[in-house]
Amino acid sequence: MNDEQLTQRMQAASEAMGLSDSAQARQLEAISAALSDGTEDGTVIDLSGAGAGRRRRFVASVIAAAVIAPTGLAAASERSVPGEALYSVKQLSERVLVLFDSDVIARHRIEEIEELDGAGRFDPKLHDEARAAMTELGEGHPLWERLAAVTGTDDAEDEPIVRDDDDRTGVAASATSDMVTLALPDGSEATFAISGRDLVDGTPPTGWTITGLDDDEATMSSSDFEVTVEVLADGSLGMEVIDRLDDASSDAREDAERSAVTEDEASDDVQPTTTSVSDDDDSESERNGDLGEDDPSTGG
Amino acid sequence: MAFTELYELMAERLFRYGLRMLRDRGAAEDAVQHAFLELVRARPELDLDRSLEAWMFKSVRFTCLDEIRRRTRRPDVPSDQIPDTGTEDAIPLIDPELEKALSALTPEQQEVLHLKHVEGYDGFEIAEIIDSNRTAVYAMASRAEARLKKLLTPVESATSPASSHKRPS
Repeated sequence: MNDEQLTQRMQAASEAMGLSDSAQARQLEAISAALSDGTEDGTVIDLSGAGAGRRRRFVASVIAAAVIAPTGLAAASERSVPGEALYSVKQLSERVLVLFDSDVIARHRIEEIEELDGAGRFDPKLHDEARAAMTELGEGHPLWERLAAVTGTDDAEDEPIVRDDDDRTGVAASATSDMVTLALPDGSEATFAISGRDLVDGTPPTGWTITGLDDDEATMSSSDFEVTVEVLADGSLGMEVIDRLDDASSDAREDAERSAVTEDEASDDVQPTTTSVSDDDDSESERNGDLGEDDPSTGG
Repeated sequence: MAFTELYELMAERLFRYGLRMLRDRGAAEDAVQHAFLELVRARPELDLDRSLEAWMFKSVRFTCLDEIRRRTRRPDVPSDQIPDTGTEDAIPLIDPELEKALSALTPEQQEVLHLKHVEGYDGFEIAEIIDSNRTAVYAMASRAEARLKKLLTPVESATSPASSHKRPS
């Protein structure tokens, strides 16, 4: 027997040594069990009774699910975004995919930011992960441009990625992935560090104090204003501004108007209502208009 | 290359290698599974400049060697409860004579022959997988082949009409 004959003989013998369908099925069963338990890869599951009564151990692995059934979980998870059930599967798959496609993690995070952005959601953590993945890829990688496009900045480190403005007082809240900045009416700024959705630490400017810091909500007060900013569930910012001076003067105006109406009503019961409602109250305005047309006192 | 393709390319080959070393289907399946898990876990430290294929064979090999050591450390377990090595249903007996001859070799010799003749690896690649050097691999393969041929020769002589004609009367 020469070497060639030995090779042919060994190859022929080995061809019968294939992984059986049942072995793959058993692995999938273990994987499904692991997933339904919410466990991740590396979980060892005992499948009593498998294999002629002998205790067999199968290491559950999402990667196996993905590779044995590429049209199953892995494929289904491909379009998942944070918060969805299959997102963990997607992340595990990425850990292998990145061996063959170094861009995959950064690309997925950017796609997810795009997807969430389209749905009006903002996830600061996702932005962090995208930047971390891009940092691994290095400067000059073409995906940096795409990341800048989705974050709306050329320098994703410092520029705000979401904001909320209060036109009345000029207070503006903006957030990057790790910080919320409040531009206050007096021109000063306050900053709050973000961890996930929580505001964890704040730096008030002179004349302002932090009067509330509770998970995703922070309140700052000065003698004239109280500003509350909140990171909402969808990642956007919510803001409430109380202008104490303005509110006080408004209260005074309303009181004066209310008094005037009372006096008017007392003096002329026929006169229709006039100024006790705000100008922007459409229903009241329409009602006034209707009354005005028929109001003999307004001519016609 | 997508990892689905990697599995399709590697799983059967890794399983055959593990089965050749352990002669136990279940343990070989676990070794293959473990290799893919290790691939996931080792990703940060993995040197992608080196052969991923060799890395996966090494992973299966380590698992198999652990299993072999574990078996030999269990003197208290009755031998009939230890996963059989060399049982007839562990490896399909397409070629019983070959299997019998192979089982007479050391596990190291069997794996070197498997990597050379079934996987088609050269001495350098085999050396990488088994953490050895090319010279040692050639020497081991040469000794294993010589012994295997010697073990197979009587069978061939007995069954081959051509051989029997040459046999002295």
